[in-house]
Amino acid sequence: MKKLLLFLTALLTLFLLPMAAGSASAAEVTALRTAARTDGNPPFVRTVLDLSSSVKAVASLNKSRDTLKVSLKNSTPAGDAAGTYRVNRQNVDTVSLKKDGGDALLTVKLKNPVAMDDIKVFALKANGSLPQRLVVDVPSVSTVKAQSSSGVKGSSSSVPAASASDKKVLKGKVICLDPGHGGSDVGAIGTLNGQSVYEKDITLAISLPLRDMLRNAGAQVIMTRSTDKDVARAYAGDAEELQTRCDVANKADADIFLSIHIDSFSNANVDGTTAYYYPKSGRDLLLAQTLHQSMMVNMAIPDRGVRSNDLYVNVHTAMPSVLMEMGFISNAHRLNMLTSSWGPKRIAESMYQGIIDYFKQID
Amino acid sequence: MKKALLLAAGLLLAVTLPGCGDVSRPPAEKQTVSAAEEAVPAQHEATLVTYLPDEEGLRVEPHTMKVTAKEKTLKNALFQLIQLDRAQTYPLLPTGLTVKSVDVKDGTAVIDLSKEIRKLSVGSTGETLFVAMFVNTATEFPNVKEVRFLCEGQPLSKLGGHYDMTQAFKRDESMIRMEKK
Repeated sequence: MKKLLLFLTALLTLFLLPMAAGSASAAEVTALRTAARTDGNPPFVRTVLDLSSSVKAVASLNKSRDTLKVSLKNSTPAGDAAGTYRVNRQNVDTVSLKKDGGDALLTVKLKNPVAMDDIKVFALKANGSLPQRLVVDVPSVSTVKAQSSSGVKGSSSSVPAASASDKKVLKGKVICLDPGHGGSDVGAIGTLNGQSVYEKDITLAISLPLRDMLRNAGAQVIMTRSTDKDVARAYAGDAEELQTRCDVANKADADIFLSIHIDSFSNANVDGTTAYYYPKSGRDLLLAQTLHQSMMVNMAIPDRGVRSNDLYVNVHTAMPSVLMEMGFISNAHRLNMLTSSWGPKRIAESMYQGIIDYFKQID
Repeated sequence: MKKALLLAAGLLLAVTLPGCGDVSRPPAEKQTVSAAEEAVPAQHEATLVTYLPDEEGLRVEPHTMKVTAKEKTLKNALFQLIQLDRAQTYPLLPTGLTVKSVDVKDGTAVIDLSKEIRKLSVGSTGETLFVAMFVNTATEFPNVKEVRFLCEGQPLSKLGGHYDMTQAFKRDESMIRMEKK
């Protein structure tokens, strides 16, 4: 298994364009462009190389899976195509093109590892005014699951080490996380490939990595639930179930309460994130704005704003609290992201950053 | 209103003109309509305002319809609300939902919904809209200050899992998108 993995890591794909008959001279890479795309799953950064003629290309990912190299055989960068392009789009840091002996070498540097299966290298034929092109798609988010990264010991090892400043901010903080619904209450229901998807499972998939990140940075995290269960009892009324969740936070005297939900609506085109608060203390709005801002900066989810209303958990908790709706289960594109290996973790990361930002502002 | 009517008459003219040589007929019809409208005493007319979700699911929008004075009842308003929602492109309310009874006492309207309401599968967006639809429609009636929901005669203790649905709900103007002039 290890041997196979090494082999796959070293050589992602061997790629061949039909050689033009009688073409012995080196192909030229005449231009390089990048574009961030959110219409794929996962979202990706596309690099397009314009070519003067067909080339043979070999792509490889290094062992730590954060540097992709694509070697274009018997090619050379022409004009001003060579150089380093700063992308800095989420996980993708830079793209560079240089001469490498008789070949041209494209290097994509990533901030976090990606899976080989999520990288695509393919050719596009000359079309009208467009020349022959080589296309390289690299995920703009980390797509490597915890269990497949090297040296894994225990489930929390996927959590990156917390910075000293994060630890300072979160020291002594008590945070209550409330994964919405659970047990007999499945929450909103989506459909993916003919199968039902429950809101309760997605809210937990976001909350657990968020819990680990916060604990790793020294915060005390109280969970209303950390498995698929009712918090009060099965088939309890909504008020009883929700009050039991508020009681967990109130008894722990938590500094903040964050309820994590996935939205749903009859119009499947609708998508977006909403931060709900109830203005019971001076800081509910601040917490909502800070978490909302972090979602807007870190995620490509449409904005439905920060809204005040009287959702039960926001009214009945004794501390600043927010109920975050993290996109719509009724929207096919969002459901793909919410059920992917990377989506819930990315949301957790943005919530983590938002919580840090909140405590920085009030301390 | 007069302008709209004139425009409508003009449109009718344009449409009927190619197949009809008598250009004086449409204006004549228009006069007949106006006369008929004027013949109805104003006090016998009433407007019924219901609140329906917008297509984005962000707010509810007022929908005004003309009814006779005796049709302006809370039960009819809620009946129309359900019919109008079901006729929308993206209906929010479950198929077959009816209002079994409605009772107003001391400013509180108690709305008894049929069992179909339990099929409402919603996030907080849908649940908030459901409340805004019924409560804002009901509180259009001056004698209604707040609303309680029942399901088949019992308190509606379970719905979307975001609110205490057994509480009395007051009108929430912030959920209403006002009509543009």
